[in-house]
Amino acid sequence: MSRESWLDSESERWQQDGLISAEARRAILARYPKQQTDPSRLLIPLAVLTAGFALVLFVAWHWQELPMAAKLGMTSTLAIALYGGAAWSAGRGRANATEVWLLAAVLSSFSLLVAIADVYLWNEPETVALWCAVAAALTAAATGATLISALASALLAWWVLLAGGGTIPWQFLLVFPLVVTAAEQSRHRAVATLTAIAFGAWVMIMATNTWNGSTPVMLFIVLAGAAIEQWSHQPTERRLVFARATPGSAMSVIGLIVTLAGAVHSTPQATTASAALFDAHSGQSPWPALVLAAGLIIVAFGVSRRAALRPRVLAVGAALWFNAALAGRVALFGDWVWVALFSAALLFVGASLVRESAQTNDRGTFALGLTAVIGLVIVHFSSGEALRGSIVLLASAAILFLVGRQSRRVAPPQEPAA
Amino acid sequence: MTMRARVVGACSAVLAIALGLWLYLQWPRWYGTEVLLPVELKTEGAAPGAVVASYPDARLQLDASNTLEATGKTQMPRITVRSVGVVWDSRHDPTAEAASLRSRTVYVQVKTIDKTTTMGEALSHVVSISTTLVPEAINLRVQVTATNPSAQINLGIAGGRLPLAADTALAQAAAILKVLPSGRHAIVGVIAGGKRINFF
Repeated sequence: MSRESWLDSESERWQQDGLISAEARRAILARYPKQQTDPSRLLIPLAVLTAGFALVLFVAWHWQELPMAAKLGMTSTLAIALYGGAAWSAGRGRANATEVWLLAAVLSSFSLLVAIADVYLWNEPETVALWCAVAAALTAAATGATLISALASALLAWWVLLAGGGTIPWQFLLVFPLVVTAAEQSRHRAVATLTAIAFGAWVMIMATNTWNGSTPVMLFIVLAGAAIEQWSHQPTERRLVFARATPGSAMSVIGLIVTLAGAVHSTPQATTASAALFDAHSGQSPWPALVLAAGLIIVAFGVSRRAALRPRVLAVGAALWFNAALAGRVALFGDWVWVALFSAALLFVGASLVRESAQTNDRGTFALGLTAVIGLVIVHFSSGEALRGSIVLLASAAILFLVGRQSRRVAPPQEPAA
Repeated sequence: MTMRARVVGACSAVLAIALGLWLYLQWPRWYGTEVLLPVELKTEGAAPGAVVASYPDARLQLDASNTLEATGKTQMPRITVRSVGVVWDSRHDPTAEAASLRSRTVYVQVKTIDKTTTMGEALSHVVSISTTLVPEAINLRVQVTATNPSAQINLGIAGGRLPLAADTALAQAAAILKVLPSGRHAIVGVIAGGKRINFF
């Protein structure tokens, strides 16, 4: 809807509501006269676009015949010229035009990087894509331009999926702060969503790459889960923009899932590898276990803050139990003991939160509790231990039934309808 | 800081990246040791005016005792090489060992042999493989692109699509590589049809 149409219909409603008189409405409408739309105004941008396509086609067709210096000279000159255009436009205070100049400049910088890789027969498209993402992220972080921020986030997510198949994309951690800085400046919802998608893609790739490996990644994933969960308790305005669009309870659930998934798959080999990170000499440092425990306790406290006192005690107690069990699994006990303790801990957290939600009608608490219980079921269902899994699941069902019955007894009476 | 200054800063940073990338790729061409490796050049799957390069020396058979029998496509000719240090641990399950090697960075050592190119220059071959640099040898740092439980591995040596004229004779070709002491290397040309063709 055009501005004129909007004003016309809205002012009519204002008049009907008695907010303005008929004279006032006429005066307002007279202030914003209807502009004649001239379709021929589209022809000039179309002509520029067509000329651009013609140039690209001509250069691409003769690309192989061009000498190396011409390829690099042409692409670098184009990038510098377009950045110069953006600087000139910014100097004149034209924000929208500057953004378009910047988009063209960043795309031309991609062509420069691709040209360098092409002339040197550098057959590593993933690395080129990463450097393109870095170029876009740097420009976005420096200028806060929305289009560039969106481009940088999308490109980073694409690179993670492209490069993450065989190797661990550690470089993400260097580029992501730039993308977040850009998203903070842009404050656009679409940019925030794309940034969150990039982060999600990285977590997914890291988890799938290291699920059963001996690298210490899971330890960091536990800490990331704890950080996400804690973040969910911040007031909306204190969260970074890319997390602002996500409800606190959803972030809390994500944090819980990430933490538990990381902890479950923190194998003894992975913990040893983590130890080597902290203590290169002996490889027997207690720090990884302590860090793991700290992460889990942070999440437990976070979960408990969403609930009342009794489930809070249960949740914290369960987390401590879980940590003890995890440490025990690594150091002393076999898998059977650990699995039983872990199951009990998770069941306590889940059941107590579900019970709490019945009394408070808090859907976030309910979702957290249900996630914990479903997580438990999945762990056992997919463990490959049919007999043990069935026994634990039956026992879990019995505990859930008992907790549920008790919950119905203590549930407060419903308030009578007004 | 004004928006104009920010744009200039972003431009400088992007140009610095481009300059760094150019230096990184130019470095082996300036300071690398020249090595000639046999290469197979094919026009199938390549764009007009280009060929696809693949190295027989990139298909290796490791000297391991705990392997499964090779089947199907794995029966391609391979060069048997010895390991310097432990590359393939014979105490482990071969399937797990193959999985752990996939995508890893390794070093292969090349040595000149009696064969020569069509221009009479000495060819080199891969003779051994290691997980670390071997002192006083020419090392190529490469990524393992494929493995199987038969201890057969494929390596990613610099090559891929090369710009060569359509009338170039492709048989008995050799790739001209420049290799840095760190093992990083780049292809700078080929010897094909009795001619030395430099790409730069």
